[in-house]
Amino acid sequence: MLFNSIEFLVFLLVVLTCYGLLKRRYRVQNLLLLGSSYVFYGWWDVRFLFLIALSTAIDYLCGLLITSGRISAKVRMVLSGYLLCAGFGFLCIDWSAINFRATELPKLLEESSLFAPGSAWFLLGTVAAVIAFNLLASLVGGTSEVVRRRVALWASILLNLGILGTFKYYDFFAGNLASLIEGVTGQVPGSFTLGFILPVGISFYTFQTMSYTIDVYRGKIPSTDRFINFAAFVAFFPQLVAGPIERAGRLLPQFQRERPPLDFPTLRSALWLIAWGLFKKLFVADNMAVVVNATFGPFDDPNATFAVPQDGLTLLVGVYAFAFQIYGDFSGYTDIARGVARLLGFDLMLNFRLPYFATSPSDFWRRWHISLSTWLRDYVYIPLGGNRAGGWGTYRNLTIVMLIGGLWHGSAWTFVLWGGYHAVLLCIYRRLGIRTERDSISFPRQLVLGLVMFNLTCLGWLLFRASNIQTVEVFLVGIFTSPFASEQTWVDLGAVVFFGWFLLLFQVGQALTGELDLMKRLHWFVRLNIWIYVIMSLITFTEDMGQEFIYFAF
Amino acid sequence: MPRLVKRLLILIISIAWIPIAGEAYLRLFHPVNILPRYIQAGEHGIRENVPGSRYRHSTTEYSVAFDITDQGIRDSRIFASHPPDGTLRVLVIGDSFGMGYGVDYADSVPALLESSLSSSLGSPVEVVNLSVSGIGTAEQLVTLDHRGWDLQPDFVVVYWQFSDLADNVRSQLYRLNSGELVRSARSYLPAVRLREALFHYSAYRWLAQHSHFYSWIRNNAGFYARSLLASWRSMRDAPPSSGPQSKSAGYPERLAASLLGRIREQCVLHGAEFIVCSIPNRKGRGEFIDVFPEAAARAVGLEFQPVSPIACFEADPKSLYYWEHSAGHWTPSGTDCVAQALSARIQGMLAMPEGAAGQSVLGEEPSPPSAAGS
Repeated sequence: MLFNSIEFLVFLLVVLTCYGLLKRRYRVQNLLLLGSSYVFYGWWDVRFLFLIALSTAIDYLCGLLITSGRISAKVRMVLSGYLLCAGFGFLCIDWSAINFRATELPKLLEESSLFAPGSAWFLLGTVAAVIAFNLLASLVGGTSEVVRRRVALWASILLNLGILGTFKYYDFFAGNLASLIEGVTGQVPGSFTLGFILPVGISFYTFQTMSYTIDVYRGKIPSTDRFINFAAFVAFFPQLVAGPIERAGRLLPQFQRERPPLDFPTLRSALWLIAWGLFKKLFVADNMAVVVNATFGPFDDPNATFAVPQDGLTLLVGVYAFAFQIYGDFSGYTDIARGVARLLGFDLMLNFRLPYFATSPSDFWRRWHISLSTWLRDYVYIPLGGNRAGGWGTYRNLTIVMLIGGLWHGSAWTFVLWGGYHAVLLCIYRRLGIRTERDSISFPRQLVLGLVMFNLTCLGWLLFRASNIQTVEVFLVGIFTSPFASEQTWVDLGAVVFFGWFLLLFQVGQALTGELDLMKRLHWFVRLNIWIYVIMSLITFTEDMGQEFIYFAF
Repeated sequence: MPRLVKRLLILIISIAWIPIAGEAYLRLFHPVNILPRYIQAGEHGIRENVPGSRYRHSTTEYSVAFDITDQGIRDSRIFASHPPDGTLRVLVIGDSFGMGYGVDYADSVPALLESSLSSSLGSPVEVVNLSVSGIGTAEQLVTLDHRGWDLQPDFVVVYWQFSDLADNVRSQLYRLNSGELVRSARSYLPAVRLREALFHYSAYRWLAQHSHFYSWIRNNAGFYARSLLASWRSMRDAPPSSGPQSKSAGYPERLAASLLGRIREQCVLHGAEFIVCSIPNRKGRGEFIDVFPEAAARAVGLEFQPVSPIACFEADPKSLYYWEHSAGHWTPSGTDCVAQALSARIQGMLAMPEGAAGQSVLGEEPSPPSAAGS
């Protein structure tokens, strides 16, 4: 279900109404959130809910194993029942074949097409998983504390990464292996790929659940024995498919207590976040996409001629447009997610802090996709030794982290290249000792460093957006050897300015005042006009509301 | 000032400011087509142009004046019931395309057709335009019955376009009852009473003529109201589909074909020639589709040979035939093509040796109409 769809609007209104009726009964509210989150995700494809259920069960069990070691019969029954229900409900039933009309419901059970093909195997697999879980609980629970904690931690990491690797990266590596074999031996090997569909948001919820187990292992947070609370934390629909990747220490406690009632200031700020997020997505990103697709589109086809255009500046404008598109798309989703969560009484973390105002690569990563960069810092960079590993050790750690960050975004070499590019930038800035802290440098220098960093970021976006390496080559050759404008350049530039000026102006205001919640500081009459501009833009320039968010693919 | 009073004041000012800021926004970033419709309830339960009205249509692509005569016709002349001796009279009935939205009167199809026929035939020709923006085939039939025959036309040109399918169902003026076309409602005046009431106020007329914000709200509200009404009536009125006939042609198509068939019957009775002018749908610049429901017409035992300007459009695909940002009406190049196509068809029909149309034009005794063009 897309945030920018009528279905979601209806869904949200129903959820908010039911949620409001259950005030002060937060555990029942959690149950409602769990059910509605599964409906939200299952709207796309019910089958992949099983993966979420599996991740939930793995980390719930591992968390308990790490802290207490003894898994009660009640917990085992809850987990076994949950997994069996998930396997049956999500894998064995063919939801797409069911007719929900009232007259058809009595026939439901008679229909032979109620069950999905291979449902017997799915059920058998689920039973095997239940047995494995119980065995794990029994075997590990009886060992020493050190062994039990380590085994539980590594079980969580390996199982979660195993699911992620299978569905997201297996085909990529298998395809590359086949190409390698063909290159070395000259023989075309059989196909190794499995052709799996990439489950929406798998990278987000996998990292989120893993962080829970790791933090429990590190003693930062206690494990929870409230299964519904934990399952609702993993599947919380506002941030399930595109983040922010929340930490259990921050979000889980919010599921374990009564949420504050919705007052007017909270409602106002939540509605503003939703409207601003929709503006970024529908007005900025989707309209920039027209320019981006027109510029990159001819090169997306692997059989394209890859001739370098004469008007290199058109390519440059296309790259700038993509910088706006990806920022508007992703940060817009985060804003909507934070706004929706706020309506439900939850506070989600900030994921973007004016990233295009960064003055250095490290500054950029403190501002862009903060939930991922801090995740990688806390769970990869620091365990590797971080800055304490010495000169070359630090560069090595930075490179590993950025390559993982690139690969996290997608299983393609261009993403790896993008991660590697950012690693090189981080290392160069570090090696040159360029100081970019706001307090230590003058405003003109900040401006210059900011412009340089923005253009370096855009170069990275070229790697990110390009479908293949040839496209990167064509763009770089075109921009640097043929920096000329055509009629199309001015048309595209006009579109970028038209759809981007207000976002930029608003962010300049945020940067100058140092206040991200700028609306709070503005006079009511200015706020009113901003609201009018945003709403009018949403209505008049967003004919097609059905475009997906880019980060769904990650 | 008490806090409550202050908040109330802010609320009132905000509500008053929204249309002003909305107007400014639209004028700056998204100019709206200002296409006011001066229509009223006619005597016969359908819409007609407001006699004597003068107004202007303004878009980013054109600004066009409309002068409506006391007969409710976009023209400067008053037409007598009997055409002058030796004058060929052509009656045009259509919607906004027929009214000549998007072009000055001199560039409208009726004006160009009259000029083309006069010079080709070497004899006087009058083209009388009874078009009213927004009307469909059902209202065209009512117009013809109640006003058209009084003007004693030699030719009747009826415009057809895709939106007529929904308009005919929505109007409920006629419906198909076991395949038979029957009158089912005496009048169809969507929001006309409201419009008439509002147009009494000069402030409202000023808004309709000048405000982008007003036009924007009206266009959107009208669009959604029409869509809802059409889908509701279509669901309610469409008989359950059965048999191969319903597979080849839906109810709206069969209703439209039957209405056109009825107009043709009326033309035969009144000794006039009948021509359908099919308005093509535009897919893109230089790409056009004829959307006339020929299959549906055949399904109800009728056959039409509509006049289409597509050949002329495709002869020079680089020209602009439809305005691109102004409700998609014809440009002067577009109307020129349509007028040429209609003129050629009328001349062809007049030149037919066995046809009687030419004789009747010359004031001799009427003879049975030919099937040509039908």
